[in-house]
Amino acid sequence: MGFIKQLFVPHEKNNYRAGILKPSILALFVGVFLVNQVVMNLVVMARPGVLGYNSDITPELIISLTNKEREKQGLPALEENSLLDEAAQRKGADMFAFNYWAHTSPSGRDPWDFFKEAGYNYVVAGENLAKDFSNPEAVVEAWMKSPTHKANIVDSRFKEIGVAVIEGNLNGYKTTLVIQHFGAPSAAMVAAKPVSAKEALAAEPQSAESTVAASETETLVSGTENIANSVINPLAINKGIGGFLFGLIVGALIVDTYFVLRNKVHRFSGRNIAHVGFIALMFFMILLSQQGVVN
Amino acid sequence: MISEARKHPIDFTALILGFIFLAYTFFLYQHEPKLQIIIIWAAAAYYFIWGVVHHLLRDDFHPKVAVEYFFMALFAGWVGTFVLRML
Repeated sequence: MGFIKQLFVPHEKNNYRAGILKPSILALFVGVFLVNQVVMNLVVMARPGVLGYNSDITPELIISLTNKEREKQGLPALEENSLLDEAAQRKGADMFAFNYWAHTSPSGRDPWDFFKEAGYNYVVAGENLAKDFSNPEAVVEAWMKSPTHKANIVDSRFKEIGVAVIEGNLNGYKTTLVIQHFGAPSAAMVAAKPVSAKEALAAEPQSAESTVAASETETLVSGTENIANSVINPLAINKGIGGFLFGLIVGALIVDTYFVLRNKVHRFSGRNIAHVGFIALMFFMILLSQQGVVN
Repeated sequence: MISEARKHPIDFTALILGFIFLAYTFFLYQHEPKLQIIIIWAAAAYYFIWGVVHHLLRDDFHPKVAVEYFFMALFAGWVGTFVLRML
């Protein structure tokens, strides 16, 4: 009881300031998060895919929602092209195989390399990426909120689209990558007989790097299907711990204010109302931050 | 607690407007956690500076008050960073 009093109630033994508001205790709270981070890192090292994000996304829905956004702008719908699907699939496989999340790979491969590998010759092309989203509506909504991604979706020069949705482990966390490729085929390609992705793959010799990437993703996808229901959301864990600590601080500030007013304590300290406002701001920003990242 | 704000309406109006602007930009960049982490630290820095300036203007500044604002800002900034790194 004395310990609780020391933490929450201002009195002579804690220099008339709730102990929980002292820098040492705040530093201890940061330490709690550091320990949590270390534990999470150990978990993902020992059992990759245990922590992560489940999703319910299909390429068809992404294409349909993308075309709805274009329709709103009075633009024609994009046609799905199997070569662009293949390019997107290759890009996703490469990100999982070489453990990165970017338009350009650590070895310097840019998105256009995957277009070329899939046999898609373009006059103009674009790429949107997303990960960790739980549903397709949220993916397209996030892209539309980002000016650069929106510019791709509503670009009147694009005629065709390809989408890949791939599950796997990135940095030890289970995730779903959504890769959206846009293009306008070159005149030579339009004139040529349409070729399916499989035919193109069979006809063209593939580099060792891309072959490895494709096969590793297949393994990852089948591996994660088995643990899809047991995945633990790391964002929810951190939100829970953060919310609890912020709640403790706000609670301590309210109790502190009550005793200071009741006992008419005069002291040099920060403004409790300002602290509550600041912590509340941070609390709501963190609580309402949504799962999913675009790139 | 409310009476503190009523005593210094200009200071607290500046604080609230700053918070509204930061919250707006934070939600504007939803799904872009790198930018959101920068906004979290901007909010922490703004709060620390506001605290110091507010107490200097009201003639009740003491170094330990600055330390209190500093650690409050640091704590909230770290918690925000840890959570957003999971995005």
